[in-house]
Amino acid sequence: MSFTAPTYILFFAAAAGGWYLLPQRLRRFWLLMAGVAFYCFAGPRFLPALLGVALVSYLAALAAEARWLGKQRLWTCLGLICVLGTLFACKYLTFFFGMIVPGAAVRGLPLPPGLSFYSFGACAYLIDVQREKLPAERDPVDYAAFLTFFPVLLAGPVGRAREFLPQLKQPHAFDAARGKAGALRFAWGAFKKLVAADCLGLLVDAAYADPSAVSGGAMLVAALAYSVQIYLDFAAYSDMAIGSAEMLGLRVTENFRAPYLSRTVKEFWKKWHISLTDWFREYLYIPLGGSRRGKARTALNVLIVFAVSGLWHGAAWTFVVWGALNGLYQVVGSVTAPARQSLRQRFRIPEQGAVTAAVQCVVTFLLLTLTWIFFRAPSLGTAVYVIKHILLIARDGFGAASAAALLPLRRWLLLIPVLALCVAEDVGTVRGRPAWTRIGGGFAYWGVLAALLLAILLFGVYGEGFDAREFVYFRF
Amino acid sequence: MKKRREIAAILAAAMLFLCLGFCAGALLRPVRTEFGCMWPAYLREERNSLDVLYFGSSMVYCDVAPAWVWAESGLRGFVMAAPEQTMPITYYYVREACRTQSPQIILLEATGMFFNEYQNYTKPNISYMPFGVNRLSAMAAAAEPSLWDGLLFPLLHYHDRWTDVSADELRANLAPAADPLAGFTLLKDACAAPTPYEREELTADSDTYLENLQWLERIRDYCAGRGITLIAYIAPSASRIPAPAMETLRTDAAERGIALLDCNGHLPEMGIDDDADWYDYLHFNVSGAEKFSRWLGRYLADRTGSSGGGGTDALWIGRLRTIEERAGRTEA
Repeated sequence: MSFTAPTYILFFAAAAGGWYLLPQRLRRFWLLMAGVAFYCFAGPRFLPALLGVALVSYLAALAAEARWLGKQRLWTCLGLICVLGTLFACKYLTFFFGMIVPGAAVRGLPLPPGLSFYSFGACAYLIDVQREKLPAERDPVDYAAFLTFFPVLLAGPVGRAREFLPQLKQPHAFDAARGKAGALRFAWGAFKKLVAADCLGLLVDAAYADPSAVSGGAMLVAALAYSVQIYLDFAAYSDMAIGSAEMLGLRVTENFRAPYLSRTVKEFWKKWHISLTDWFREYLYIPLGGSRRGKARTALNVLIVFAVSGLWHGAAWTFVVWGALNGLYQVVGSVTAPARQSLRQRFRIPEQGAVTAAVQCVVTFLLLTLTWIFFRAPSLGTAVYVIKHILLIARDGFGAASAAALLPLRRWLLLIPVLALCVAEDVGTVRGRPAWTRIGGGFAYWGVLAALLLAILLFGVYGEGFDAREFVYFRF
Repeated sequence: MKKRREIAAILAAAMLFLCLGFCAGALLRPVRTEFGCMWPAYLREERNSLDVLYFGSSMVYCDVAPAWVWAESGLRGFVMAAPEQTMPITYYYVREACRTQSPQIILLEATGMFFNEYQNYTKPNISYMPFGVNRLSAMAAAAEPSLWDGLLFPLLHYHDRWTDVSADELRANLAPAADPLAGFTLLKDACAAPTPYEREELTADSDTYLENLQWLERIRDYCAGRGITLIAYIAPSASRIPAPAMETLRTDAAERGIALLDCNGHLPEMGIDDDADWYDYLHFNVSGAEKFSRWLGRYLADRTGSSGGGGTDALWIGRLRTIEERAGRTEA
């Protein structure tokens, strides 16, 4: 069930109603049942995978903490092997077997929705218990309620038990202010998804459906548009997840902080998919040695982390190249940072000047756009073709008519104010005052909410004539 | 005090949302000027100015031109048919139409008795009805549940039209015009002489037919309650109702005191030329429609004792002139 489906509103109303109305002792069980029901909408046949991961990680953490058979690390490792083994079998078996035996047709297990997200949540929990950052959860209902928490179950943010479980154990009375803030955040996310991201999706899909049929200029526009689409799509999902959780009085970690207003790729990765980046930093990069073992090892660690991050997104070479490019950017960025700084000093370019910042933001955005081409393209060959096609603008011309034909004129015009709103939101976020915190109460609040809903209904990409568009990150 | 203010704000925002949403939905709905469901134009007719109302499927709005019926009978009428209009939709169309008119006669093309529960055009058939009890009832009785959201809140059905709706369409939706053809759809092309055949899918051996009989009874009762003469008829076509089904319908209608006229038996009387008067197997073109409408006018005049022969009503003289111009009978 997608957050943008009308059935989700009904589902959420039932879930929230039970959460607030049931006696305290039953609430966590209700939340667990809501998570299970929500997952069943995605495919009941995948429920054993979710419950299996929950059961294995729950027992492994208990065993590790109690040092059953005098072992601690053994149980953690066993738990991790089971959880990551499930992820590997479902997501990567075909890919790796294909590498070992080229041409062999091996069908892996079907990929349960959200497995990449909740298995990482379970792994983080196991390692945290091993590191004694939190005690193993005794109550199986509480732990399962954490792992199946429906707002973040299918596409994150990647949950952290150490942040979530203590909240679950507190009594929750309905807080109107939090409820309203959550509802507005949810509506804003729906607006970003249906009006902005999916509109860009129409354009991107039209171009990527047959890159040879559009001009190089059109392909460039589509590549740039995809950079924005994937951000708005994923940020919209996170907004709706965080908004849903907020309405239940639960806090979920922020996943984005205006990433495209970053001046370097390194800074971008501190602001993009924060929950996953933090996960990789804490459970992979630092255990690999982080930046403590010299520059060469640091560079290698960065490359490893980003290659794995690419693979996390999908078992395909396009994702590996996407991850490797992002790693490479950061390595090259670190290596060339002193030279670039001395160049700026030599030409007296102010380090913190607005123009410098703007140019750096644009360059960063373009570098990232190059990586997103690999992310979006169905194969490496297509990605390379798209890049060549764009580079041939110099020879063949931009082909403005072909680019303009990607969307009806009125949709192009609509994108201007819509994207301006999204930029304004990001600027507000950078300044520490996100848009949804600035709307007052009373008429202003309800007016904005009504306007958002009306804009979604009027301008949203949904219904007849449009293919239903899942969130991009659902497929990971 | 603060709580009251909050409630007022919620209500104001909800009202604003609903009003703007309904307005946007109404403005974006495609303008309907032919092929039935002519509610916006129908509602422009002067109240209680019509003598006959016609209901049924495309075999009504393509075949019956009220201006030619008027020319023969003096009976002013309007075609309130709709594509594949099912019986429950007909019932609620009749009720809604009679809110603004008091017709003497209702002519119901009865092929709909053999239609399924849902045909192919529920969305336009109900979307153009004015909002009210009849529309909601039609929706509940005759619309696929998947369409309910858009029938209740039309913006959901028509929102994507904002990218190409024209200023003329917006104007036409803001101020709908009267229809000079009074609901008739004029088809000019002619097909080769169609060979009659029986539509085997039309059968009286189904639960839907029995349900449709109940709707027919409801229409009969409603008409009787308002002193309206109900005439059921089968439109002429080459695509015929199978004889057993026709016989069942004839018997069922007679048992319920409803006159049933099978027009296929009167084709020679109408002067139909098979090589020139058909648009396709189901519908007349304008030439056939004129012959059929004039025949129908004479039939109604005989039946009602109307003086016949048109009259001095300027509106209807204008309508007759318009249809003749569009049919290419006279110079515009």
